[in-house]
Amino acid sequence: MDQDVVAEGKVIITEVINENFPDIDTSDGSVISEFIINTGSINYAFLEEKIQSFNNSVSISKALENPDTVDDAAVDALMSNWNAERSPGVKPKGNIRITVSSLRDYTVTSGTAFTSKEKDYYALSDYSFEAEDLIQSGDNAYYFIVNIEADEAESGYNILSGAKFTSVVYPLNITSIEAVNDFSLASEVQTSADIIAVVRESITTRDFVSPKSIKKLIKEKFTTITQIETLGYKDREQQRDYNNLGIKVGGKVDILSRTKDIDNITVEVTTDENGLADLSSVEYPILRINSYALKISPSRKVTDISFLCITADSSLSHIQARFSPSENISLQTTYLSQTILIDLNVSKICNEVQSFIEDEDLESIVQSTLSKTFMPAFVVVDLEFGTKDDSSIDSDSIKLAIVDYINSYTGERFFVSLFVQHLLSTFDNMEYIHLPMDIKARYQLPDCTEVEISSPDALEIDPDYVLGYSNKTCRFYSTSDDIYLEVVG
Amino acid sequence: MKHSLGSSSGNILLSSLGSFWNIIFKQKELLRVILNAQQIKIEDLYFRLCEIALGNSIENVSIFSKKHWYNLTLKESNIGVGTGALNQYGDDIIYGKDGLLYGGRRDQSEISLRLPDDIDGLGNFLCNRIYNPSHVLSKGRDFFIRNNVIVFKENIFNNDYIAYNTIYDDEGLQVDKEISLWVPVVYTDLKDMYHNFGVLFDIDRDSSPEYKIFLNVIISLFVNGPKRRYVEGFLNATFGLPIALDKETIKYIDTTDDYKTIYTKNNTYKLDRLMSITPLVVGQELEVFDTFHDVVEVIENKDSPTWIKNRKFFTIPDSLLSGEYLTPLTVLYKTVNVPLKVDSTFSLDEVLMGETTVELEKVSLSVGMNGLAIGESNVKINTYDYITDQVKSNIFFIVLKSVYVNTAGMSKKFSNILKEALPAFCTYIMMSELEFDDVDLYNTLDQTAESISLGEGRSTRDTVYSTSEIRDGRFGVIQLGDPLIVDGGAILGSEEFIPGSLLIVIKEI
Repeated sequence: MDQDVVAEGKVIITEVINENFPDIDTSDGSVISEFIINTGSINYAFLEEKIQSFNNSVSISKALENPDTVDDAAVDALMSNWNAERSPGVKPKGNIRITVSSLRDYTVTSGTAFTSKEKDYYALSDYSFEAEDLIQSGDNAYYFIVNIEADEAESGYNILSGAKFTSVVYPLNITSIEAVNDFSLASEVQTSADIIAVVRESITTRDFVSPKSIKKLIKEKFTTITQIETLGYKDREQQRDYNNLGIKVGGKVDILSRTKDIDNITVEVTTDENGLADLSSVEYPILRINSYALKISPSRKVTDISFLCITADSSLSHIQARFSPSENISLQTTYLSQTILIDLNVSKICNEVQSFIEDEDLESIVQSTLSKTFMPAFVVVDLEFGTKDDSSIDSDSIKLAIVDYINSYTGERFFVSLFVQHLLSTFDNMEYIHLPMDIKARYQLPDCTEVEISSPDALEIDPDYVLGYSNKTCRFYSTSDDIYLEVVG
Repeated sequence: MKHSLGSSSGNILLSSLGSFWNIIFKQKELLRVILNAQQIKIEDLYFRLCEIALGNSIENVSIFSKKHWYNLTLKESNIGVGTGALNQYGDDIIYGKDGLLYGGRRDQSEISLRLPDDIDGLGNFLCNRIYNPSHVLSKGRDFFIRNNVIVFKENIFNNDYIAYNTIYDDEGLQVDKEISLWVPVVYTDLKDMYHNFGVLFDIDRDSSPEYKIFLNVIISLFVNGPKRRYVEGFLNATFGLPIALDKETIKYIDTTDDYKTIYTKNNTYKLDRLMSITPLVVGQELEVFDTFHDVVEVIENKDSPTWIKNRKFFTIPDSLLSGEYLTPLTVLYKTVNVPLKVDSTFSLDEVLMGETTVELEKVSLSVGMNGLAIGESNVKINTYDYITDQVKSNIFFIVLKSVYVNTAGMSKKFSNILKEALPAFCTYIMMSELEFDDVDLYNTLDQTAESISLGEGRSTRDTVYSTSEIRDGRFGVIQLGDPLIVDGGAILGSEEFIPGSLLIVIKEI
């Protein structure tokens, strides 16, 4: 209890009694002081404390000062005044391949549990497979695919391709269950500190007009989006609004968004007589072409990629369409007039955002808005580390933590020191990380030139501005294939 | 002494109290007084609770927290200590025969004391007691307060009606006197406006009606969108100019001093007569965010389609130009003859480009299919109109028309607020359009100026509308009276204008 408040109450009560009854002893230790004045002033201080506590729960500033001590429900109520809601988090999701030993009909009901590393995942819907739907993968080996979701929105549920699962479902004659691909990464439930920190973004109109309202509407709709930037009239990176004199005339807005997940797809294309593969059938913006291989011998992959020729929607300028759903890319291959499989990283969220901003109830009149993703600089990590007491750390966990960290990183410069600090604090058994770390990133300029940057300190895109490409439009990405681990010591 | 059974038990004591008060204790009046005394503070808590509840609304949030019966203690030794802030620059102080003697004290019999920092205003009275005070000091008659300094007309420490404590040192010598006054109403700044709203925009100021309306206009700007009313209100508030706090009616206008003072039922607005003031009359209805000065003007093409055309001079800042331009592009009013043919081109070499390297000789002019005759005869194309027609739709202009506008208010923080609220596909150019003659400048700037110091930038000389010369680089000193258009940094008196998207037009009156 605040003794100053007690004293404040005491002064008033004492004064009033003294004024009306000057003969009564109100000095410390007297009956009146101990029994009446002290009690009254303590009651006053108690009520004052309660009111102060109420004030703390309705004041944004106080909540910001002590986000961990403020009741979540009180924060939610306070934030609702500003049209801000707590993000419920995103549970990891992905496909598992269930291999069985006999050819017959199978059913997996919604909610069926699968377990990996003591974490539970559940089938997202009812699945029924007739015998003829099963795919044979060997002698007495058949498989089917089921989509499952983690029980909790926690990073501990992140799963890499190939992870093993178990299930108590009978009788399925199951011989193995494994993840077909990397699961989408978890986004944890927003803390009170997080929601208070972003409330500033929530005070805005509900339209696609201002940078603030654009961010608010899209983040509200797509909870998996971790970062949004807008490029408008005032931004030099906005190239679509230059007239034929090289003067900006406005009217154009680009929305750059990204999620923590990098989508991976394989497309089948027939090359022309010059070996050029037209990727116009890919409806998503292409972040990276990882490899290609002949369809008839898919295991012999070509990873030395030389691309690209960009074409775009005629209403968009050539370069500005890059990383938008309107881009088309051609890949130069070594196979002439043959069918090939091309492995790509794409951003599916861009197309969803583009559809959203074209919603007739929201789209602003005469405004040209284009959904894009950030220019990706893929970070390659070569990590050498030591563990405590010869203990071991699951390499998949480390890779997932690194990918999660890099793909959640929103800054313009990637600081190696923060990265190292994050890993050491995430893994208790990691004793040290060998420095200097060989960390680098690769990105492509508009003229298809491949640029590699490397630094023991901080990675940064070359600040020399090139046709809409700058620190503002470029962000760091990574996949588990870009991470190399080695235990030393 | 023999204790009766249970006399040391709290339960027995409490159960006996009821009959004690009723049967034995006769001083009911004391009980009433005690309860009243407690009520005073409980009332304050109740009102604080109401303030907190109201604080969720920017319309209703209390500017100051109100408390009753504040105990103000003052020491004689503090007379004159820290009271130098009584008169501050900008206060309405008159020196001379009827006012203050420069360097002298106001009145020998007056005493001044600094009020505690947490107090932002006292009510109209100070009392020597809470109940039935025998002596009441009135604001304006017995004391006044300015800049948190209280000035008593007479030495309050010699007032027989006010009890004092004598303070002695260790050797028993009297070293000080302390009096205690009761303030029926005191206002303290608990910064509710900042804690509940200002923190959202990282704008921390002392609480005031101006701060409240400033936050109000920012929230309106964001919540209701970038409507002209909110943009103008925001700009005026940012530059420290008054805007209407409520929907209200002008009751009285006082023009007896350097300020024009506007009185409404609840508010008073002081307008600087050195700056142009919007025509105002008694009985005029004001809407919230209405502006009083017309020195910050927002101009957009749809409302003022001839404004940019009539300027006949326009500079496009480099932030709106492609990287091929090395300096801001200054477009002048020129008419050229152009052969109108399919795929015809016309020369823009009459556009004065300074050091810019962009190729403008071959600009395509597309002709639509609306039945326009294609022939060999030339048509007149105005290069100024050609360029500004393309640019003007998504740009608006903020024009400052007084050197007295506090441009320092337009800090990066506030320009960022404006940019966040504006449509992403539009932008603004800030200009300063100043008109004054030699005498004005001499009298109103630093009183020694006979010239204007200009920094790096671009200027046109001679006449505004038929410019024969564009100069880049440092201007140095420009003699007053030169009609001049400047795009770039400039120092006018104490005001420094930042280079970039600033156009200053100094015209001869």
